Amino acid sequence: MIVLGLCSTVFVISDVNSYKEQKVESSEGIAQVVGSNSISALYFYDNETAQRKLAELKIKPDILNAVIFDKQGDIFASYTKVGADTFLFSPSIQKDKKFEFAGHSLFIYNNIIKNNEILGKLSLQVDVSELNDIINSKFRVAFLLLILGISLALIIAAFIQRGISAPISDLVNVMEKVKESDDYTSRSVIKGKDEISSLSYAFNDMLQQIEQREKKIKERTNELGESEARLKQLVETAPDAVIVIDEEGAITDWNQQAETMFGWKEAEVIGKTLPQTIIPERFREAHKKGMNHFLKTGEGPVLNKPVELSGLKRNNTEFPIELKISASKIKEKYAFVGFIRDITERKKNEAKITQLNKNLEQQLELIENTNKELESFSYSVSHDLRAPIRAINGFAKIVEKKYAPQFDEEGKDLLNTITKESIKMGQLIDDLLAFSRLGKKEIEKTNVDMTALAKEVAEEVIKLSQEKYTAKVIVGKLLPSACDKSLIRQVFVNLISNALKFSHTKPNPVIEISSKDEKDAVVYSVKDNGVGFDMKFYDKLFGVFQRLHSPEEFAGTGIGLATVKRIIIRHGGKVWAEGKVNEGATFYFSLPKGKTGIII
Amino acid sequence: MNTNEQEILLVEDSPSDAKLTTMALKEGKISNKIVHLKDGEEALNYIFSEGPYANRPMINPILILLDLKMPKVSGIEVLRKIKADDRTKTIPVVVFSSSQEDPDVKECYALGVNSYIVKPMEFDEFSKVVTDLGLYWSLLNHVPQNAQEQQTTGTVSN
Repeated sequence: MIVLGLCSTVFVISDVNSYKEQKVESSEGIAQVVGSNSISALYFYDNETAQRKLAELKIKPDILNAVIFDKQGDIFASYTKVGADTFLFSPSIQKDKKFEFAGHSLFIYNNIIKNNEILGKLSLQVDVSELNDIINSKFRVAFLLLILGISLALIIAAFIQRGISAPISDLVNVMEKVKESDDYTSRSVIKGKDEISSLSYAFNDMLQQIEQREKKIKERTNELGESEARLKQLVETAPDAVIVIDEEGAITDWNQQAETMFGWKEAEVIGKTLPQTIIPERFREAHKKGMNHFLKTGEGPVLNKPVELSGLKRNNTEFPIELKISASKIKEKYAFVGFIRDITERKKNEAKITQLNKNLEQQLELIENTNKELESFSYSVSHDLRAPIRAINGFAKIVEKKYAPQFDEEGKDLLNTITKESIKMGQLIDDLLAFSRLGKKEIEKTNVDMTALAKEVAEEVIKLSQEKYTAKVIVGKLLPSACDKSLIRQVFVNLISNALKFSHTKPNPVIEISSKDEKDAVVYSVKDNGVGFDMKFYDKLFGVFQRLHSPEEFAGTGIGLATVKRIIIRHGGKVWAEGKVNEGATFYFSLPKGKTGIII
Repeated sequence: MNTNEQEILLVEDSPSDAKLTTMALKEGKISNKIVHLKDGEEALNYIFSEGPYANRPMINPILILLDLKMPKVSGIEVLRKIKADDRTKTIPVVVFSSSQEDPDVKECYALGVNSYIVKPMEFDEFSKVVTDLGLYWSLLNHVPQNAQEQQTTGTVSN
């Protein structure tokens, strides 16, 4: 603005000067012309001619006065513009100066020279009052120009500001905002495609990156905070005491459980060492050595596995603990985390279990002993009971053979009874031994054609009876089963023999053997229409040596059904029966559906 | 060959069984001399000519009928000793037991018994089994030559 003002002033001044120069030049020209025109008049002192020549100046309206001085300095001729004031020139003042401006006039002083002789002088008063007008108008123009210039400058400035400063100040504003509020969501407004826009773009990009990073950091921080809170909660609510110590052995963490377990508050133990708090005296040295050894060598044989030790409570009582220590390096320093569990109860239970196991072992031993005793008992039975019976039978037979002629009928009959009874006794012992062996025998399950087996057994039993049994035996189509063939054969032998035996006294004895598919098992039945039994004696039916009939009625040792029951139970099946006195009986046994194989 | 000189040893603690066996053998017309030894210890002394039988020339019997369950030294032990000794291991030994218990059978065969017979309870059967046994081992069976030599020469190596 100042520059603009200065420029305008210079412009006006130079304009005025050039005007002045022009005026001086033109006026001097006039003066010279008039001067030279007046030379002859001066030379000849012709005032009138000189006066006329001066009068010609009236064509130049701006010349107000003109005076010609002669050599002596007297006025030779003069002119004054009509209407103008006469100016009285002084010849003395015009020595060196050729012109001067004074007031509204330009004064020209011109020597009239002829042949290097100054004949006279001509002085002109030129009206330069128009100079002020010019100056005024020039200043006005300059002023206008100045105003215009300033306006233009302002407009340009505004325009430039809009294009450059505005985005920059916007940028600065956003920066300020971001700085003050840490709000990275602000963005600079982008206009155009110049360097500033690029800068804004870059800045926005940067902000976006920072914002994303900020977001991530916040998320991570939140996550960390949450996980730390969780961890803390976990540690605090852990069923185990959690204790952390640093390399120097000083306690840095002590959770709720540790407080409860050892009786020390967190604030009381932080900074203390384990030997000062929870390690019983006899383990303190080992603890120190162990830690030093680990820090030196990195070897920790007790690390990362449960170790059973003793802990010390604040009240100086010891209790069994299970300790698991893990070492982790944080910032080049080790921290040891210990999880400690009070195993007092467990120890008690273990002791109980040990005791129980011991008892069980004793029981088992007892049972084994009993079994052995039973085995040796049955061995003894088979040996020692059989021997006298054999003797009785043998000697009775020998007596019969050797001395028969000396015996009367009764004697022979009595001898015969001795023989028969001894045989029965032997049978009883054999059955009993067979029965006891059943408990020890392996069950070897194979797929058995039960129809064929039942038929075979029935035929055999009838054949062995030597036509004593005449019953009609109907064997239906039986479902096959996975079972021990020799044992199930024994079952059929016993059941079919029983059926034949208890029905042969009836007219038209019929025995039916059939099977039925149940869900998990096959049920087989042997039905007869014999003497039956009273259901109130059902409990005695399958017992050893239990008989529902006298030997006179029906022979038998009372071990057949007990054997059947034992065989079926060993197969995992069941036996049961239905009967009614004189209306027959039905015996059932079930065999579970299953695979073949050996059961011990 | 005089069968009378060929002994059948009956190692049996039960006098009744011993008597029954002896009678059965007699009834079966087995003419060999039957020597009854009452327990395992006596049997071993007799077989190896030791103790009270030290003066007996050690002649292997043609058959040993051996009961298992006996006081002092059991039949199993007698069997083990006989079968472990080169001088006696060729003697036919028939275990004549009251027991049907499996472990006995297995053990006896493991020790090299020649036969394992369960004494029948009924006398007629008992008598038949004993007679068959006696006939089989005394008349039908042939023992190796060296055993025969030992029996005839009566070598004693003690």
